[in-house]
Amino acid sequence: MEQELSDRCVDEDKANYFMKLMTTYNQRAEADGSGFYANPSPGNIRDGLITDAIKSAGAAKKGGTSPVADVLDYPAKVSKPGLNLLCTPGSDVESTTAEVAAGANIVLFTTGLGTPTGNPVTPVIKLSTNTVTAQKMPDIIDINCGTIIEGEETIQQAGERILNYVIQVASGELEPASVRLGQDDWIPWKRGISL
Amino acid sequence: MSTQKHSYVRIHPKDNVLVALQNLEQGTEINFEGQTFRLVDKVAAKHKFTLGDLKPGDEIFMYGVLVGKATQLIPQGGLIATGNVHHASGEFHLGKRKLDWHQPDTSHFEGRTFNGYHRADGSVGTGNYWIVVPLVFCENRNIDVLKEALVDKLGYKKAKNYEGDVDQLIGLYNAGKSVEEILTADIQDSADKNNSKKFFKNIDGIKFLTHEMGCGCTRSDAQTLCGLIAGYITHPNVAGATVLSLGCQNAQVSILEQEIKVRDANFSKTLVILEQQKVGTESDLLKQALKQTFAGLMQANQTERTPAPLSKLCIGLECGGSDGFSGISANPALGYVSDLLVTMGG
Repeated sequence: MEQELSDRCVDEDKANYFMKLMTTYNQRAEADGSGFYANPSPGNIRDGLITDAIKSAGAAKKGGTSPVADVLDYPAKVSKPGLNLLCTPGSDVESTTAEVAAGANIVLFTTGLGTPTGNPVTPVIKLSTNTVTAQKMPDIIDINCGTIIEGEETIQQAGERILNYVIQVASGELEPASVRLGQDDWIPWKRGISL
Repeated sequence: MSTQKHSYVRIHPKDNVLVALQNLEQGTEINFEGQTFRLVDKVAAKHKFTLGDLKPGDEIFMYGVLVGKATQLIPQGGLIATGNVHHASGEFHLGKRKLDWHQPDTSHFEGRTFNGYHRADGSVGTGNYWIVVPLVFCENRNIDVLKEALVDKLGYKKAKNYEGDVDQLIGLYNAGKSVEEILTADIQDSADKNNSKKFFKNIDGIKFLTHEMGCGCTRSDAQTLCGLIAGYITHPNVAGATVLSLGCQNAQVSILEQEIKVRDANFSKTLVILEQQKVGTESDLLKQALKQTFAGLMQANQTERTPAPLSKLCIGLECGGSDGFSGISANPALGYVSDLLVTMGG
């Protein structure tokens, strides 16, 4: 997956920078006795994500197919239009906190098991990957993508449905669950040790 | 990839495992590309089974990439699990640029706009918020006091709260109910008692960003914290900010100011910065913070939503609590949204 993403970077400097960020992060994890391999949580594993590579290859699908316009380290701000890759931790609240600092004015958040994450200033729209979760947690899920699994909708149709929803949220016409429930999660990423 | 009412799917032609789209019993007959075999294990929805026999060390491919290696013999139609597979991923090196891509059809969104808050730097907010943020955890309690004072009075209390539930529990206790009776009592959903209206109609909320950093950490963490806060202060959804500093901490006001300049050289939003060790008494600090924040809110309330092109949307793509369907349904759908926006210049 790293190979595909780095090949999609618009120039070699950005590709090298991306690979450096990935390698450095893994080295730091290994220095702490861990590594990317240890990423999947017990819930991920129970629901079929048995290795980090399975989880991450599926996660990278969020980035679509366009070239990577820029590669940013935490806590930089987006300055170029197009697909930007931002180095954040795997923890979803730290990561969402950083994406908004980078300038995201909408966050699209997919979840299989259901999570109550939001952000204080940017609407976080929650999309479930399966219909069971959407029905079990209707108060926190905004959009069900289980329709794709059931063959009711194509990926393209779901994508257009999502963008229409985004436009309404961006205009203040619709409040997603995270805004309605006041899910104001905000956790800055602490990289160093305490002194 | 098509998932048309199938009970299993191969995501990429290179893959040697299939994903169960529903619970499949042991012995279920699988017909795939001319092969017919039976599942040797029960395979729950979201899990994967092998398309052929795998020996220890054999590579497993999903999404067309290496995702693991077998650690023991796995027969055709066998479940892959943490007990028989361990993580493996492909090496990477600087390759040839692959920049050709198929732009999706954006005709359904041509000429579409959203109504947002236009900022001086050209960005457009999907909301209009005031933030109150400490530079160090020592100021968290002062931030909480400001929150207590401002949120309810200005009409930003959440409609859904559980105070009514507590009222009912108190009522039951006063009526002499036992622990057992209280645990089995039917608590009515509290009626929505929140009739408060936003005092400033164009301000969507005042948000209080407390945290555990700013001192007692590495200098580089203090710098990145200031960078993160600067990212919020210059964010299109933020109209202005109140920053409380103690004074002696690692995350200095001067660092925050530099980080704001890096992100917006012509920064012109209202920014209230107060330093407790300069001001003196806590009461003076809070009174000044309230007065200056209120004045800032009055100015921020002047902005109204006006149409903006979809290229002004900057979408963060995130996943959490992922499952075996994430990479098949919701994540590729976001990928398509991303491709649509990139095509439209976002």
